[in-house]
Amino acid sequence: MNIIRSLALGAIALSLAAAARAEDVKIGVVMGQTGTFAFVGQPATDAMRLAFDDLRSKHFFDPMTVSAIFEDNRSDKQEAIALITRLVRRDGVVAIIGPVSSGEAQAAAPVAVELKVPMFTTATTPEVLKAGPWVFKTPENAESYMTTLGTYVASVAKPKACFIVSIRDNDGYIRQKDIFRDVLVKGGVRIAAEESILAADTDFTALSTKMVDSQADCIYLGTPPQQGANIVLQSLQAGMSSKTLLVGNTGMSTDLYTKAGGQAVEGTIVPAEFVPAGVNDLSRGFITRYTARFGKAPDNFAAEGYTMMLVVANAIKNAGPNPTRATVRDEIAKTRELTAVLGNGTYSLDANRIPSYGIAVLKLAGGQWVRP
Amino acid sequence: MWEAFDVGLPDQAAGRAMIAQQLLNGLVSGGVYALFALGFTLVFGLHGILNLAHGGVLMAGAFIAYYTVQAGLPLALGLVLAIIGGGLLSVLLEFTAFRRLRRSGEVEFGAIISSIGANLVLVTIAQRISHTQVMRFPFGTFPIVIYQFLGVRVSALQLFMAACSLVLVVILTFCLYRTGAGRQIRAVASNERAAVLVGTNPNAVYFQTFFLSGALAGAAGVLVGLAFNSIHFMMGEPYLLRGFVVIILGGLGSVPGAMLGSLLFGMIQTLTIAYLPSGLTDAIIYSILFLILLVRPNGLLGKPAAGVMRGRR
Repeated sequence: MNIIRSLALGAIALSLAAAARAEDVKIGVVMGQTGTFAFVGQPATDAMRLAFDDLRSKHFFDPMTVSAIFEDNRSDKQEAIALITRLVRRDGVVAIIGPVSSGEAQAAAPVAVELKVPMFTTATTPEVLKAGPWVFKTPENAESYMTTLGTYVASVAKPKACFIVSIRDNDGYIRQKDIFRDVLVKGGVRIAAEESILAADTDFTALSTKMVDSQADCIYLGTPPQQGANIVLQSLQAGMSSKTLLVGNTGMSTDLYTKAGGQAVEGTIVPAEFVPAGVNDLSRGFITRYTARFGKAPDNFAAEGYTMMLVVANAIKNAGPNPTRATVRDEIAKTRELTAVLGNGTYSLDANRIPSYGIAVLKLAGGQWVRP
Repeated sequence: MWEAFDVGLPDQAAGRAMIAQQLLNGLVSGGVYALFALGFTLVFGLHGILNLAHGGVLMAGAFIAYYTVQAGLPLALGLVLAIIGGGLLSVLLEFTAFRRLRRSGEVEFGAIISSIGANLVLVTIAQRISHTQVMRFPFGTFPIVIYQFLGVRVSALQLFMAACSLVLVVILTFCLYRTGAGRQIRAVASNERAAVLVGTNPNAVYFQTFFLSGALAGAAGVLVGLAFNSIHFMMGEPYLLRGFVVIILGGLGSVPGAMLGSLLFGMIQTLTIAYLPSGLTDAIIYSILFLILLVRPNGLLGKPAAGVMRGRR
């Protein structure tokens, strides 16, 4: 009887140990899959799921058992903070991927630092890194890609005057706009006017008339994609020339922009972190699998999401077999020349946690984003 | 295909054309605010109910028209369905959120809370239906035709919006002041108990008022969706705030005041965007409104007791 009891207890202990191992390492994902920044969060999260499944199918994490918990903070700062706290305290995740925007990330970064959990956000502003060594961001600094874009516009497209519109309730967009404007001015392009709007605005009739009256032959749209398309449509109705050069930000190269703007947004020039045709075997495979699984081609943000999961997974593997938040943080910080799907195909962080991967300028032609 | 626009006017004339264009833009925006604010002020002026779910009804109107058009049906039918749907939704709100409060005599403050709750329900349902996406009427839903007159551009859509606003306001005014039903509405607003004693059914009157109010909001939703290429579950919120400002500016409960307030608000908003730094627009608009209210504390056409229509015979 005692033997049977011992065997039973042993079996229970083994199964509990197996269950514990099954939940050994957890990654927390907090992205706005709904709300204002869903245009980033949704494709990025889809791509993270794909990356995670790709890695597991290749037994990348063996012998560790790694799981990912996906949460939607609805593009809300407070929800991001609450979810990060819960994922760390209740679920014991070793890393957080997210949140999406600079505003959300700047609110959540001090919390991640306090909880001593690495937080990897898609925020564009480098200010978020100042919160502490636990914070990382995916995109290159705006100085890098907006300078590339501004230089291209000033030296190749050569407009006479540019009308700048940007949302004023998001630090990332403001920073991109400021850098772009300064590069244009240095390149000899006159700034016809600089106007700001709110991310929730939809009535641009007065702004459009002002835009037409300025006789600018270039418009910079520092807005989310659908709002930018809406400004273009209303400006055309107000009398803007269809020949006006449209310049967007990193968020524009998505089908949300092309669907919302249709023919009206043809010719838009954007800085792109992702080349739609792919740059290496990994990115071409990613494009094929993403398209097959989600029924649409991946965009910038999908490529960011895929890369983020690769970086975190790589850090967990390197920190194994018993990764902690601290060792995962250290390994993320050591990321150098990791084969990825962004930019030129390799992803690196420098000693100041500033990422680099190379940015391309793309143009919308025939509904497709192509190199001009 | 879009064509380049060149007014070909000298600077001074172009400047005048710009002002005229912006005033026209402001009038059209004001017309849409008017549709929204009239329904808002109607319920408040007649029944003392501040219906904060009115923005949700505007949004519902836009959704109804959008899905009608998506189903391959004509926009005109979408507009009619939005008007009817908005009206019925508003009646449903009266039945579920306000009627019991009305009977308990706690309607004025209780309605604020219950209508906030009702609005949240509407917004959440719309968020689920739309998957939080911003939608727009398909290209070509309304023909893009532009007319020019002395350098001022007027689109067919702007003319349609102005005409819709005007027609609906005229119908509302006629219903209120020239029909038996309108007399009954005003009688209940003036003294519900006395109106009951002479045979008026107050529930029927509330039904009519809320229907008219919701129908106007439904129509406003369609026009907003058409004009600004944007239909989403939160689209009613900014209109709620602006509608609130407009009815206070015009005078709480005053139909002509709401009309005047809407047009004034639309034009002030447009001109500040056009001629002043855009980041200061709201601060300037609300400062102007503050100054107006300092001089006219009851609004432009308001009277000391809120709910002007209740006193009108």
